[in-house]
Amino acid sequence: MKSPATAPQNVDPAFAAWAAELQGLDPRSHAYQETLGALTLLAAENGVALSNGEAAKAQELPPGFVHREELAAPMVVPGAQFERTILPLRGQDHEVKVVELTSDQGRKVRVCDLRAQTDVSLKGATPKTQADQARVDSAFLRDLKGFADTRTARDTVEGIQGVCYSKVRGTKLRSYWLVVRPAGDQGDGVPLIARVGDCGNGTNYQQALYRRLFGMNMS
Amino acid sequence: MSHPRESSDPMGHKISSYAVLGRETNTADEWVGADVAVVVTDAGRFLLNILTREAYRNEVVQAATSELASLTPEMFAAEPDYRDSYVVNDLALTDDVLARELGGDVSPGLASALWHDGPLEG
Repeated sequence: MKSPATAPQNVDPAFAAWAAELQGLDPRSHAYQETLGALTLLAAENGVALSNGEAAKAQELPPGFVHREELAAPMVVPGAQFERTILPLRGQDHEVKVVELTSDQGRKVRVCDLRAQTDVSLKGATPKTQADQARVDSAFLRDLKGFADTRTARDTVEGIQGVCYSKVRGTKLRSYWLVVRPAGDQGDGVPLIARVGDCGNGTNYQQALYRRLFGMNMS
Repeated sequence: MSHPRESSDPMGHKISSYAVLGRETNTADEWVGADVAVVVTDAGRFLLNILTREAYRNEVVQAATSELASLTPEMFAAEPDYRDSYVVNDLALTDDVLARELGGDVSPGLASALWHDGPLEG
């Protein structure tokens, strides 16, 4: 993914304009992230590789967030937390790497990824292409930003308390997640979100995911 | 983009049952959207996303603005099987609204929003 910086040659003049605009923005600002996102797309169209620093930044900070910090110590999420929700995660505690993100509204949220623990169960129901995975990831990050700022989720699974999902518009692609620690480990007001599984766009995928992730039939 | 219908074309067939899988609410905590599993007689199981008109409009606007910032080149590599949501004119969803929209035969408008998700199970 990362490649050395290359000098743009005979590329779209808009590229130079975007790059110049980026230089004048605060890297912590939302405008910087939006401009970097547009520059990344334009660079790809022109076959230009961004510098290591720029490419790394584009991957680390999701849109709408201005600060990212990986917590030094992992957290333990008890398996009991999933007793009535996520079938493959019950019965054992999970030590997780946690990332704390700060939104452009100054709100913090912590997030961990438990999909590695559910992937075997969900085999055959997850997104099949890199494009579909990118769409699901984007939807999750969109809703993560929304949750960080409002402490509410837009879409919730019916009949399973606390499980939320992120929807990719016009598709059956879904990313499932839940709040495992509403107020943070030390009561510091920072919730911990656990991402638990993604559903692909294929036939029968959602039925399969419902059975394997939630232990229930869809209807 | 064409969508293979096979013998699972639901148009004109009766909806025998449906179940809400997911619920979407707006900032005022009003019920404005839902993922629904639909069983259609002689056609199979389907999935549907239903939205109020305002929720649909907000979704389109969001997709056109803030989501552009998170687009990556690989998203353009292959377009997914896309179906528009089924949009209702009600301000909010209720059980009665769902019963009205999903309580009869499958209309052409509804059919275009349904994804076939498998055959009826015995």
